[in-house]
Amino acid sequence: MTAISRPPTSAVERSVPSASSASPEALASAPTPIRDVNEVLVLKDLRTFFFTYDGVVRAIDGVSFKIRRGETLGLVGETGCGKSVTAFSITRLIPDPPGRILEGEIWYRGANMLWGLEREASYRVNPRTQQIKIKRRFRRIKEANDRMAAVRGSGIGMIFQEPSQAMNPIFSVGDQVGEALLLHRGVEIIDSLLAAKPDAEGIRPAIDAIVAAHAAKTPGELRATTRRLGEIVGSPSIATQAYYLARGAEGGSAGDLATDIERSIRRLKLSGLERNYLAHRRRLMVLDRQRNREYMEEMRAQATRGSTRAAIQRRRRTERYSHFYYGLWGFRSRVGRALKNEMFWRVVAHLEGVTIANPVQVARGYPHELSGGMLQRVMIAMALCAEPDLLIADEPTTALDVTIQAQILELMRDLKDRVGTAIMLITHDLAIIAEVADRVCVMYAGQIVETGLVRDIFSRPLHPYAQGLLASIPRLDQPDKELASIPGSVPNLIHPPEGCRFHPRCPYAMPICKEKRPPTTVEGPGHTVACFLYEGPVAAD
Amino acid sequence: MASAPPPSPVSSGRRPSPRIAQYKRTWFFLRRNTLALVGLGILIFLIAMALYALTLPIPWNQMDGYCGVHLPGCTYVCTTPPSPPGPNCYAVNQNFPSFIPPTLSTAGGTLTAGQLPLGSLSQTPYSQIYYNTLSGILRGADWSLVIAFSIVVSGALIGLMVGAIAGFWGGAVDEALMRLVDIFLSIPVILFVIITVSVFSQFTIPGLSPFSSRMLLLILAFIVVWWPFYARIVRGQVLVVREQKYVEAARASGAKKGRIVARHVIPNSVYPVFIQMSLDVGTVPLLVGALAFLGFNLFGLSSSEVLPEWGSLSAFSVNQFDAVFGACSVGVCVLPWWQILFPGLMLFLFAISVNFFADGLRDALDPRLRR
Repeated sequence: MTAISRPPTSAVERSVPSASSASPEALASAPTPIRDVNEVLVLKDLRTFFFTYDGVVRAIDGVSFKIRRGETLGLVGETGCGKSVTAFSITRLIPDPPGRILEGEIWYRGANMLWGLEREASYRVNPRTQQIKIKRRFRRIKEANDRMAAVRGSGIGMIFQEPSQAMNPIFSVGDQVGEALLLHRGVEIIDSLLAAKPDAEGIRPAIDAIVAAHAAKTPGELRATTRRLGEIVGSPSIATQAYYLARGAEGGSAGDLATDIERSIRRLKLSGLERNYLAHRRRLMVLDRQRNREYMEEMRAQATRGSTRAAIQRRRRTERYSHFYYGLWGFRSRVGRALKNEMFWRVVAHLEGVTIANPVQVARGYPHELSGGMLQRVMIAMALCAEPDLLIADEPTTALDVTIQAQILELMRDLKDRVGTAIMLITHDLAIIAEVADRVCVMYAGQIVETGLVRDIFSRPLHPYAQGLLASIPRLDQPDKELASIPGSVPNLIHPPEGCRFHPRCPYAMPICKEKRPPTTVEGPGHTVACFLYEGPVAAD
Repeated sequence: MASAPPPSPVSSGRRPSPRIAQYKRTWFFLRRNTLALVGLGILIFLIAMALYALTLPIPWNQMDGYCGVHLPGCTYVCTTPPSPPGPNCYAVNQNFPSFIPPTLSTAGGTLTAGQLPLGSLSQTPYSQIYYNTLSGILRGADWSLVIAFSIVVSGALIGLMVGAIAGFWGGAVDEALMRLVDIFLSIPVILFVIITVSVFSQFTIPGLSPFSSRMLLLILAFIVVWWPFYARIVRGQVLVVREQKYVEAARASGAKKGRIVARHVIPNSVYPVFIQMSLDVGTVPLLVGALAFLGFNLFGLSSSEVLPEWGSLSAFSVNQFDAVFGACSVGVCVLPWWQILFPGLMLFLFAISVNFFADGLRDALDPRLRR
């Protein structure tokens, strides 16, 4: 396997996000609802229903869990048990109508992202027909969506089941990843363009060193010399560019390579007007970032003091017009090309980071030209270029064959160690959970029935449903054992069973199971279960 | 430094080609498509023709060759007898000899140019206004192209905006816009254009000649009834595209509505519009011709004038049939088929060239269709 190089702006060096994004006084004045700073995301009693013509589908009914920093949480369960709906509820991507998050709390970076949920819509039940009428307040919903949009991508990233459908077919891969990069890392990209020194001392010897390393066929030396050139010019993308120019420079002479590198350095020379334009765009991006930060601050502050919405709206108005005004100037201009070039080579560096062997070709290719595994890597690169705190992977390996699955999982595990991103892994494949996850939540019919460390769940599953799931997969140590299956199928969530939702299929069902919903009890360190068979202390939350 | 090119240490293959500009890439793919190239060639020829016609010395609405019957060497047209040269006759512009089929050369004898008054068509069975076909076609080129392209392009732009908004926003916005589209679709195209141009023909736009402002009015009237077709197509397409995974993925990575519409929804919905546009470009001149065929004098033309537009030229000649057959009584009985055929042929060439070119361009631009 190729050595994994770090993307130019490595996440390892970044500071703790909550500290960097909020001003100190805002943090001091706001109450601290997070008990543990290591908790990236806390879900409390989330309820998401779909109001269809057939009736109300109780897709998520009281789900609570936590994800800690750098942890991989597996969410398992049969098809239709609400795993994906949970993920979409977290990012507020539930199609509305018909879906609505009714209640619950989603704590992220010290803010409840569902703040003001009860004012987004009112519900009235017709006493005769028992039908529910919803009156949505679209202005509030839009505000809530805007607040969430500030977090999507940059705070909570997502990758999807079928990567070939999750990419726009008519733009090249480089364009699309570059778009995400510009959206989330635009300020840094422009900064590096403005800070580049195309006339610096010592460029010529550095290029000579690259040519020599190229001639001596030493890949490590080539990497080092190009990186040195990047440092001299002050642009990491030049390093990538020089490296790939050298790698591809097979047919040309050494002189060609030097000219090519010089040409790409020359492209970094910008006129005063162009610098002004870039500065303008940077200002707009800073405004954007600031607004997102204000959204978060507003969310944190809202519990205690009034809203700062008026100020935010004022700023947005000016911003909207200036986007239009300056956007026209940069269209297809020289500086636009410089920006595009910078983005392209950054994309190449990011693709390299997800172990793509020929990133230049891949970046120039279109989605339909790439295989599923390759595209999934691209999706991962796209999600990670914003350096999110949490990556939600919704069945990332389902559409891939087994060998590629292994590579993708290896990549995700490696990225988790390197970047420190927490991962919420949704799958119905227990083998993947065993391979990658630290903790597991077993879901059934919109509820979490068991939570625990991965080894506890696999060695000592408590809930009959978890036991059934594990009994239904083959085991290496018991080759002769017949595979069991859970009788019945996932219930219709419009009319879910009373009491414990699993009782119609449960081999240990008791009379009480039909009447009451079992409380979540603690059965070991970090091991909780919702079943009347166990009588441990009731879990705190 | 090594003088010979050394094999690259870690090279996996050939040198990565430099990033190619979009238009170069499009041209690269277009070049392989013979039909598209043919279409492009014809289109360039037609546009060159239109540009050349602009330089012709005679104003658009004067036919340069009015001969009663096309006789070889017909050089004068007179409004009243006697024969030329006289004060009532003027010289025929000989810059562009008309297409006179050889059979006609024997048709002379009983009629001379001098006998042909240029009054109204119905006054005498002998009189016949024949425009010079070649110069008519040349004159017709610029207005035909301008009318066709301006109506189709602006109609498509309006339709694209309305359709994209309706399809993407959905709900009440969708309902309202689509009912508006239904209302506009219920308007009969020709009737609406006739009424609009007739009613508003009194007003001339300052700075434009009466003819040009009426032409503009015609174009506007067509646009008003033309965009709803595009709005429907685009909306249908947007409804498909907005449910695609990549739109959801864009939303999940923090993109806002405007960016999603501009970057994902519209680029993926324009291709059917493209095809519809290429078909409509041939239809519009025919509809203008239908106006001429119906005989509404929307442009205040005198009876010796004809609207210099291919569809109208063709229709105009068709309208002359009875007059021509009336002339049979004096021994000349020729259906002026060339006057119907050649403008129609130009129309056909125009429509088919746009079609071929648009098809090829779509193939070159849409990465999914490239081979």
